[in-house]
Amino acid sequence: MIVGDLAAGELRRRLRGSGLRVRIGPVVAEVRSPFGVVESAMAMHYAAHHVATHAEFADFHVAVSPPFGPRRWIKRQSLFHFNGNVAFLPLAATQAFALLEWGLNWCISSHCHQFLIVHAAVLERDGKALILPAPPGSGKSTLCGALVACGWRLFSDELALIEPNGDRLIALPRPISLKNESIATIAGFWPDAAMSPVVHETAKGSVAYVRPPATSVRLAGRPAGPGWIVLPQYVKNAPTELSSLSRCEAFMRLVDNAFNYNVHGRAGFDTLADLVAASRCFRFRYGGDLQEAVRVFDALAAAP
Amino acid sequence: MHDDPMWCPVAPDAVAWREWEGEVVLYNHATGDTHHLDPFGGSVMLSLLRHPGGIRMRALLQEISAGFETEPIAQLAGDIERVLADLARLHLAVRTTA
Repeated sequence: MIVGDLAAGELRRRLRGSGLRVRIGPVVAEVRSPFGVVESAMAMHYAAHHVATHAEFADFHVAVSPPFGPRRWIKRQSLFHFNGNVAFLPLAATQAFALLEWGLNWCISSHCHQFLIVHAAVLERDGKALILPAPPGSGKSTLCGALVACGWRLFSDELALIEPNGDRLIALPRPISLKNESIATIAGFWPDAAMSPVVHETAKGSVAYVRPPATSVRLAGRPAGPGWIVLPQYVKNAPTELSSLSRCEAFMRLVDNAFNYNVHGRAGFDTLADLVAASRCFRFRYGGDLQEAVRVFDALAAAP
Repeated sequence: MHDDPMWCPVAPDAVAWREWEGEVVLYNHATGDTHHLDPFGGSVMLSLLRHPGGIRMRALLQEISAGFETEPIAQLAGDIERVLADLARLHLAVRTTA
């Protein structure tokens, strides 16, 4: 059963009661929340994700709920709970779904050490992974959204999960997180995108989410091999440019963007080194011409 | 002081490395640090790793000069000394008294 199959009222009953166990790639998260904004966003963005039963192991038990006290009612706030404990400072109740998404990122990146985890968008074509490692503000999610709109399979918008030995990446298809100018950019480029209402004044500015394609969610169990490592950089009005990148430089950028490289020690070095050795490495600069950007990546994928 | 000093890699068993297009990335398990060495620095470090018991400066100069023949030998010696000082600062190499 998928979330979209739940009978009317059942999603609300689970979110407000025993919890909705949802399978997201290799993990199961049990989510609870009384907020309507979380319920509607889960219905929209996780419609194609499998509902896990309560007999199945849940990796994370998370909740987004109001605090006790006056902030439950006045200038309402939301709190993220991980295994029963409050994990972060409260945010406005209107930001409850963003808080859930950021909280899930934290849960996965700080606990799933069976993978080497890199802050990167990942897409797939013909069984090969295109890894876009980058710090926030590099245009990674905008590029990811444009490529998904043009048929690339969404692997992950935020976290590259790399198996030890570096020969396989595991998919984690979740909503694509867009911020500020990229919201209008993707809305214009991909008019059919299922996009959430924009939430303003978050810590990251304005935020909106794009629903992951159902196909990407259905294929989440299908891993990908190394393909390309591309460092994206958005520079307003810059010409589109793909240039080669040394493997050592690509390796160091992966290390810079890794969440748990140090946890893995020598094995982490070997994992990233094997991944880099099996990938083609590039630097990509673009100034907002997404059509041209997609053409560049399609050509890259088509090249022998 | 010996006029031909000996240099050793620090904990060679704790070092993992890969070389691509002449550049080297290296992981030092003893410190948990990862380093990116340019072709010259990489060749000095790899020479040290080939001699875990240590190598004299003159022998090192001879090994390195084979790969960097265009550089005058005096300049090459100075460059190697600078690289060795950097490697020592990074806890990758140590000058011994042997």
